[in-house]
Amino acid sequence: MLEAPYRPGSREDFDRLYRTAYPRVYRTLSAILADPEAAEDCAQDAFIQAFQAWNRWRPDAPAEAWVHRIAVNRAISYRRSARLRGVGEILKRFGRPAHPPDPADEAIQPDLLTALRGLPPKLAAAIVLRHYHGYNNREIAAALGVSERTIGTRLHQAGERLRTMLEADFSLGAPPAFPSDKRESYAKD
Amino acid sequence: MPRTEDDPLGPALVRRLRGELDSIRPRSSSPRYLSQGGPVRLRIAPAVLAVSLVAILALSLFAATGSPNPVVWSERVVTVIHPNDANPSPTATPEEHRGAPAATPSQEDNHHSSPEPSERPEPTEQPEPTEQPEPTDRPEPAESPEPTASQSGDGSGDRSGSGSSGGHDSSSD
Repeated sequence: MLEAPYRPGSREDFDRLYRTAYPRVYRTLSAILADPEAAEDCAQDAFIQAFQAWNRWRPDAPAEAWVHRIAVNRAISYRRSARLRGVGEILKRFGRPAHPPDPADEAIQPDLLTALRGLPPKLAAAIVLRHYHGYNNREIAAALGVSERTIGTRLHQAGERLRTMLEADFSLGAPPAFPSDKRESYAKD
Repeated sequence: MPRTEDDPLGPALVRRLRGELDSIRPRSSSPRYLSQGGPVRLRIAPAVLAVSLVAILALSLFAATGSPNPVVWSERVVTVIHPNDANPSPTATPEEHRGAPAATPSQEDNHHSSPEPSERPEPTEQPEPTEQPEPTDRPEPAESPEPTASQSGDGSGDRSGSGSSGGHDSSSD
């Protein structure tokens, strides 16, 4: 059954977009952000921002891809601020040993998601949009506001780095995905 | 792990990625955008605030300057004090031209007429333009009142312009 196209400014259509796209946007952000609460906050903020601009949305791009673009940008901003907070945490507990990882978290967390969250957010977003949501490179380029060539480069770099990280994890053991102190540990953008 | 240029991850990693992401269940939280005021109101609110501020500013400037012209609002008020002109009463001038002995009394009369001493020379110089054409030998008679006073002591000091007019008066009398 083909869904009716979204109409800009329609409250009912935005509610339908939220019901359809929110779980997928949340999963995309879960692949970028290690903290589930942060993923939820960023996803909700993205829908708030999209709702405020819903009258100006143009149907030339898929509405879900448009919301994804907003959400990925929110996640990138969150990771930048989290990195600054991480520097503060390191300075605060300077000289004290870090909390050991929770074994329960280690058992639950899959290592692929951990490796994905270790990528720069733009690379992780390209991987998820391409291989999970099924967008082609042109749609991803339109959603993220870059060229198709850039998307191809990002996908190639992300694949190479993911394989390298996963092979290292197989030999050394997977790092904790959700540390007990909920501290973010990300790669640089 | 087979992979192509278009699919750098390979099918095994892609299946694994989909399985792990499908296992993530978002929390059943209510949409937060519902608690927002709405797109139209949020978009209009800053514009309404800006227009209100501009209107208040314009009204206050209008009330302060009393002019609806915005050019006037930026002008500064400057108070200019013009010096009070000396009393150029033409009736007092003929008294000065009676002759040299009457020069000092006429100045005293000017003192009575104008309370400011600094303005005293002006009435004495004002008759000059009318008197200059007549004398031919003394172009500047008013610059040296003292010699004229000494000459008037001879009784016929009518060489100056002022004396000529006084001479006419005396002859006519």
